[in-house]
Amino acid sequence: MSYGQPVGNLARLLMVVPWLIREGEVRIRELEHRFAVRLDQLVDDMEALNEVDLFVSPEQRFSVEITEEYVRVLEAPNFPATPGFHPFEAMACLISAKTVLGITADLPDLRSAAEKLEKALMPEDAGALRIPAVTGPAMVRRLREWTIAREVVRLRYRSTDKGELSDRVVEPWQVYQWRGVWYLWGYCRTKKQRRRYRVDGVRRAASTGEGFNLPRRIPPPPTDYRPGPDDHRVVFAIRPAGRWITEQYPMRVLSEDGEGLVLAEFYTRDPRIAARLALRLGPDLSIAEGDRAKQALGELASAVLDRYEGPAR
Amino acid sequence: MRKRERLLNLLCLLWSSKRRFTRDEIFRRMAPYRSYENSETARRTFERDKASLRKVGFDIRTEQPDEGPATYTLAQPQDALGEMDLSDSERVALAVAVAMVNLGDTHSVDRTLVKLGASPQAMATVKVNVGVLELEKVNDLLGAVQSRSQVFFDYKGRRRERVEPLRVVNHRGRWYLQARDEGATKTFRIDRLGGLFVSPREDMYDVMPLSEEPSILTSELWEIGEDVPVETTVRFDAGSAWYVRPLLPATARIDEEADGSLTVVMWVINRPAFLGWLLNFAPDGEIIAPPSMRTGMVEWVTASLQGRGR
Repeated sequence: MSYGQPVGNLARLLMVVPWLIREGEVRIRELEHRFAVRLDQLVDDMEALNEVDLFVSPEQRFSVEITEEYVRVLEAPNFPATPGFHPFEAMACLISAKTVLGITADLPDLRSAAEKLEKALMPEDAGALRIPAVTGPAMVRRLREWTIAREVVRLRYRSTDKGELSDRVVEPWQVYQWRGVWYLWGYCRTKKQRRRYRVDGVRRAASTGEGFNLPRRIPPPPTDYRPGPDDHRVVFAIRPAGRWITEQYPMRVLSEDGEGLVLAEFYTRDPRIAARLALRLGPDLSIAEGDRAKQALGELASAVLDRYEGPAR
Repeated sequence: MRKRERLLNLLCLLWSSKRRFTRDEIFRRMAPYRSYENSETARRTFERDKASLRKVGFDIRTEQPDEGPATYTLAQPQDALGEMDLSDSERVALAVAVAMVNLGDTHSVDRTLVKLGASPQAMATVKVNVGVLELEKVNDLLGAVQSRSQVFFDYKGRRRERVEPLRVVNHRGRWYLQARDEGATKTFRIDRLGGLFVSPREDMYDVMPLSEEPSILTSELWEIGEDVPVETTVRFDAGSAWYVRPLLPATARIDEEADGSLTVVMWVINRPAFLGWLLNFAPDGEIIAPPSMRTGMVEWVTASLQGRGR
């Protein structure tokens, strides 16, 4: 599946041609807006059609006039009609529409489309499908604006796992939400790496005013963790009540005994991340292997216990 | 001839005729397949081409008779959107939404965009992941709600029978079924439902009033459970207030002190869930009251330390 990119060549052509035939004449700008197609791609697509000999006959010619302003269909053959929607696909459209309306309610066309879909697919009980709003903080909107404008941003950022503040200069590619959390995905000039940042960890953000070129294909943001050569290996012993952590974090279950005690392997750049997990799970998780993580846990736990010495402050 | 042109030719051939074609007939009509010296290469190319056309939404059906070669035809599925009278701008709006929302690999974005007839550029800047959607299960469950049909499924090691589905809910990237089971309203993770069966009998139950929100949408984990709720006060220093505040639950009572610190009052039912959440901010954040919760935190952290060597 492509990720946030214009669809492939064939798919684009199958969308553009029937629409062009139906409309007769369209402005290039509208084509670009609707299909994310460039003029040179359009010319290439139209040339491709000349090689489709099964409908290019004396009776069935396809010819167009293309200028920098518009495309005009001069002759058009019968073109394969796009197949209809399966009910599953219609349901996927409805779920997508409801999700986006949860982020931005002010989209009248999408709202009316969703209402029509809902009425047709769930006539008896429109409330049966609930997708709560995932409106992000105001920072999500600001980052999105800079992403659309392709402006480099300067961030004051607090790492959620380590709790450290740092300054970053980032080329923002995409704002995305994953498992209920908003992230900024882009190229970090400070670290000279692709990085993702939790939006709730951005304390301050401002545009530098400088533009940047978006990569031709935006690589998908990581949804899993790939250990590096310098990573620390930690093995957790997890009791049944803490088993959920193996689904929430990138861990490999090594073994499980008859009482449900799981040994799971976890790799991390910073042992403090493993320490925080251990602290959060308390008696339900212990560090079986990983001396640096054990040390970090001791330091973090001491800092917490210090706060609880004596009466509340 | 490039692949795209070959695919278009294949599509036009199948589309232009209602009849079924054998592979040999297709090869006779299409020079690109004949141009392969090795017939096995041609066969493999044909298989890949069919897969490519299916990927963008064309349903190429194969029929294998008892005798003779398989035949191929282009099927026209029933159009679930066709009767909804969607305007052109509504279709474009839907295309933007489809491209923005990631439903997992079971759903083909390209295929849906082709059918909607738009692929706008704006989609690349924002993405929302609502978790892997098991469309078939969700469709069956929503269908069951519509017809008030009971469902049966395996969950956590046992068969659940005559469950009454009420809602399908997406929460933080996971899909849940909220349903009445054995007289109580329960929440089930849809990816963990096995052997789902929808009873053909309809109108078997009533759904709850729609104004009643499922607790999973409105509550934090520590606000759910059967223990006695404990009013708990937590203080966050001024230095951490900026990042803590947006993460506090809507139900919390928040007072900002003159020095910028926050005093937050919350009701806690599930104590382990609450302590685990609060330790996300460690060492920031301190339970001020009641003393039992302070003691609970100390015991929790001490247990973590004792577990280091286990």
